Amino acid sequence: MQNDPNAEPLLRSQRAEAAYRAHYDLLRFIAARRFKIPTDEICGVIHDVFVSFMRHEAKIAQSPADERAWLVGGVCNASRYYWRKHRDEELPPDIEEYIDPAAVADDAITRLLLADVLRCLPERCREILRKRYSEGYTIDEIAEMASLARGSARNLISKCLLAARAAFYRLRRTNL
Amino acid sequence: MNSHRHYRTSDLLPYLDANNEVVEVPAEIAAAVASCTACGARLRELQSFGHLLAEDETWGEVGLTARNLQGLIDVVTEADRMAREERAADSDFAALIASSLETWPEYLIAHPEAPTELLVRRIIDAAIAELDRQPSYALRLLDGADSITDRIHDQSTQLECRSDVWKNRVNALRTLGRYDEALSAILTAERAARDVATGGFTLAQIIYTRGTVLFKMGRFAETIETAREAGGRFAEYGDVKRVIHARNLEAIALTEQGDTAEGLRVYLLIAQQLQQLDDRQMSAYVTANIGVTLRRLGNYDDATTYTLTAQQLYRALGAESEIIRTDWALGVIDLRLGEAKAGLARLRGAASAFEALGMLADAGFVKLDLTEELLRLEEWDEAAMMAGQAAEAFARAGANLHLSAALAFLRQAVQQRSATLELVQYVRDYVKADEEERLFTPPSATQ
Repeated sequence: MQNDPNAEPLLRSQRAEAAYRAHYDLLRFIAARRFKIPTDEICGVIHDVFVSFMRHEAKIAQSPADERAWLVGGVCNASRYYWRKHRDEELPPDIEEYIDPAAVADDAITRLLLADVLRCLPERCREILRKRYSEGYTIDEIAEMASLARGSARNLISKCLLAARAAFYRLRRTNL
Repeated sequence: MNSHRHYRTSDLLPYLDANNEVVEVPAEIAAAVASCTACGARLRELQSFGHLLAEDETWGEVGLTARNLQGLIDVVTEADRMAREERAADSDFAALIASSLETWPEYLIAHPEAPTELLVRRIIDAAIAELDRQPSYALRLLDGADSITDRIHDQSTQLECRSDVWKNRVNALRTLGRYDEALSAILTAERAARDVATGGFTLAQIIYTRGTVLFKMGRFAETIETAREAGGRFAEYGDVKRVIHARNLEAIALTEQGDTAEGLRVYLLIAQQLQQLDDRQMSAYVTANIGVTLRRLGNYDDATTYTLTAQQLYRALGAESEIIRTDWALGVIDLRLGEAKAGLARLRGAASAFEALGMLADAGFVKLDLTEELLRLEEWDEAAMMAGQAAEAFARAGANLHLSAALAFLRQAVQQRSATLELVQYVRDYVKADEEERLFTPPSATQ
């Protein structure tokens, strides 16, 4: 993706703010889920990455994709550093493996978008999907919990799943 | 042609259910999924959505809603602090650069608030600007920057600055031909970069810089390994441009160590990657290098095609000196094809064109090529004249005493008809290396 040559240069604070708003959730997700950084340490790791981003801003292309890739690389390296400094604790597996920032970001964004979708579903729907897919209850068990006939429970699960799926793909298209 | 009805997502849902007791998959659906590509693809897509939905990572995010506003405020506050520091750094930098380096400690004592990261960066930038023209001065500026780094209170900032200062010291030492010192400077730079949480990007740059030193030392196998490591690290930051630079270093080292075909393969990969970027300068440069490797492989037709393409790209860029350089390359191809007259004419044209642009050192190198060819043709008188012109061109370009001694040695050898093609190559390599502190030693003295 190329920079727009006619675009006005952003002030450092504007650029950092825009990048923070656009990518914070993604970076938090990677630090928390991929690198298992403890929750109370994540903000500090991400803050350091943004300070480094500002330091190196002249060397980072200004397209959102380039900025995102740089920040993902930054958070992966800062997370590895965190674990090197905490050798006494159990290390997440494969932390030293090189990553492809585009693939890591894509994976994380997919999960974040789905979480957004689930958050916006009606509570009954969200909970039924949680029970079925995350907690592994059978349709019969769900039918019993929801005081529904087995066929109705199955229809409800299908309906919720299809609604979540449609919203997810719509959101992903918009995001791309 | 498959004429069955394609199944909708809702039809396929029961198929996904792992609980056999409730799965009621009609037989025709099972058959269609097995035999129809479209239905199979839909089922796989649905399965992968189901897997996403089953992941703890996904559900772990559902409960999180609060944005980290305090974090945003902290980052913007930091940006504002850097902007203020930048203004102060501009003023301190102007004062320091206008005074001699010996007076800097005095200034820093009088202005205890002056040592900041941004002041160090200003000095690094000034050193980079001086690197080609005055590498010794650049090195002294970097020493000054390092002494300021010592006075920065925040340890992490100090380490970031130190890694950057020492990375640039490596470049200055390399330019000065002080390779062993450059390699030990790399260790300092690396140590500092590894000691800071966000040193990964600088570390990638340091590793790339190490590759450039190893290349200058002729340690090509290590250069290749190092360039690959740097490329991998830059790739983690999605920095395609720097990945290409690292791969380019790898390709040059491969070519220089004699793996020309492998070098060509890497160049062709780079050319592909360049299509993602609008870097016409790099595209032209890589195209020209592909021409060079093809020439070395004896594929003169393709070499000519790539060199002419590079020339067109340079014309579009208006890069006069590079257009001349491609003419020079075409002249060398003519010579390899045995077309001495055409080749010599192109080379003479390139030398004159470089001179007209005031690029006297480049003109000197073309004249060394001319000297070599005239020696090959045993045109001794013309060769002697050309060796003299080459020496003169380098002298006018500001060659130091060591380089002048090398070129005078060559001229004398040609005049005495004792010069060999190997001697021309030896002197060319010495002049190309342009190491300020390395004395010229005639080849016989080195054996």
